[in-house]
Amino acid sequence: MKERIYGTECEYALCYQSEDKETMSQLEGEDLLEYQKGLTTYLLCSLRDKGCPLAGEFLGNGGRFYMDRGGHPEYATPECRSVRDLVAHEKAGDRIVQELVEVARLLMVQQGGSRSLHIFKNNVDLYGNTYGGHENYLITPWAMKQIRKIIPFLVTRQIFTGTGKVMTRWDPGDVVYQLSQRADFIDRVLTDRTSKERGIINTRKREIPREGQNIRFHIILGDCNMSEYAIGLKIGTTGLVLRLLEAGALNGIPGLSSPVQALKSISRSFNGPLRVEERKQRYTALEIQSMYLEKVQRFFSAHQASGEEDEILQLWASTLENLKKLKLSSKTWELEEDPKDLKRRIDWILKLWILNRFIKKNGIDWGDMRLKSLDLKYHDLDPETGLFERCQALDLVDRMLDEEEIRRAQSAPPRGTRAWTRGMIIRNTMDKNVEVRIEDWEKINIRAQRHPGNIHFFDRHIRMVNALGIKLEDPFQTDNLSVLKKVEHFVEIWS
Amino acid sequence: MAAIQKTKQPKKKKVKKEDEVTFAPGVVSEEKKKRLKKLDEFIEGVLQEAGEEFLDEFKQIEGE
Repeated sequence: MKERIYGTECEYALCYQSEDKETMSQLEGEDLLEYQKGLTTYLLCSLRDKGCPLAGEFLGNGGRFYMDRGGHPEYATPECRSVRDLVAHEKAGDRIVQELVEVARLLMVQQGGSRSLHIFKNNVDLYGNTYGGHENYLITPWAMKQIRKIIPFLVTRQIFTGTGKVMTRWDPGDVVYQLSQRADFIDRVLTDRTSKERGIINTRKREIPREGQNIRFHIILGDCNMSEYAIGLKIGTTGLVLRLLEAGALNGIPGLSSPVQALKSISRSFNGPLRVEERKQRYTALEIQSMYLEKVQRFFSAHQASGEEDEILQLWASTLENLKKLKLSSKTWELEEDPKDLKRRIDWILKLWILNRFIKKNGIDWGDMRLKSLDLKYHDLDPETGLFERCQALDLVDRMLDEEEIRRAQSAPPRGTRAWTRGMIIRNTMDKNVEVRIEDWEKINIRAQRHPGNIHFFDRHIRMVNALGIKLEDPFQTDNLSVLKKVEHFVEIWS
Repeated sequence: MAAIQKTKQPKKKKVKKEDEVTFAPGVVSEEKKKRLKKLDEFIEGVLQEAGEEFLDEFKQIEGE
């Protein structure tokens, strides 16, 4: 499949420090859930107060913002046709939720509360709870049947997609730092569930109609990245490997003997050896990634790559090459050499570098709980208090996008998918005399809110048609203008 | 691989004078030092503001 649609979903974590000392830590079960729901409700109210174009849970940029099962806020990007659009829309989601937090703080202060509300883009808390960063790729049903072939890729890609995690004395094992936040919570190779059980491959089926050719491939093992480059690499390299899988060109890569164990093992030891099926030799995560890279390079030496595919391929190759030059003490997790400044692009390396500096400066060891605080603060989306955000402001990280692209993605839908139609309908019908209802990604219902005054009594067919239904079953649908005209006409009649 | 590359690295040049008079690297390094100092100050401030109880407060529920 040369054309692909990408999307991500981020479950954000809210933390509120109240002045009356009622803390989240004292709450359990239903009480904690209700508390979390209360915080998220502030964000939903803020969304309405800000006057953002929206229809139900859907936003004018084609994405979706809602309260998830755990009571936390979640943002799903619109369907994107390119990796660059996806990165812009994921980062736009981060900005949107942070702006909502800022409005929510004002609401809280008005109601006599404190303004100490923060939102985090991470995947784990200190109590052993995890929450996801999910990825969606449109693939062919045939590729889905072969999907096991990409397991070694998914297991090993954490060497550039991990966001890093400081272990505490309560965590099992004797490591002080891990590459990935999610690795410890994945316990199956395949499952259709997303909580209680979590698989490397999620088999929950969702067929997306387009001549019966598409299936949504859902990945739940990834970390939520802060770095634009890390998001681009994660989505882009996975897209390239899926392209080869669909072309039947992904053969000869050995399977991992124990993928779940390997996932956890790499997270604890960047250069650790991994057992593979039917071979005596053991491989590192970097070597397995290089095998996939080589397959992709060989494939594109015989097939035309798009500009973006070529860009991702070069980025992947240079990242792996630079990772080979990284020197890391496996016992102390001291970043000894990072000659190509990978910390500017890879989250777990940047976080580790910050922690190393703090340890040296203060003469402390890994047991100091301030390191855990810094770990969390890395993911704080507030530019005033977030560690990654500050590194970016101080030009200590590389940017894949410019600010304008992110700002635009906060309100404008990406082109080339049905998201554009959805977003434009939401934007164009804002403050008009119609109600737009969108309950899922595939349908839009528009209803008139009152009887039209300017229609002749005998013009019954117009009077009776007070609702307009639009189907967006094909995610690649680009016949946007005719749909928009239809909506415009409907709005005109009923305004 | 990394070890091989390390041994291949050329020895540091002994051109003291040129290094001393080169302006650009000095500027970059000063600029970077300033940024790192700002980062360190930021970290101290953030930790102080968050307080010790911050970690306990951070408690989530799994989603789907």
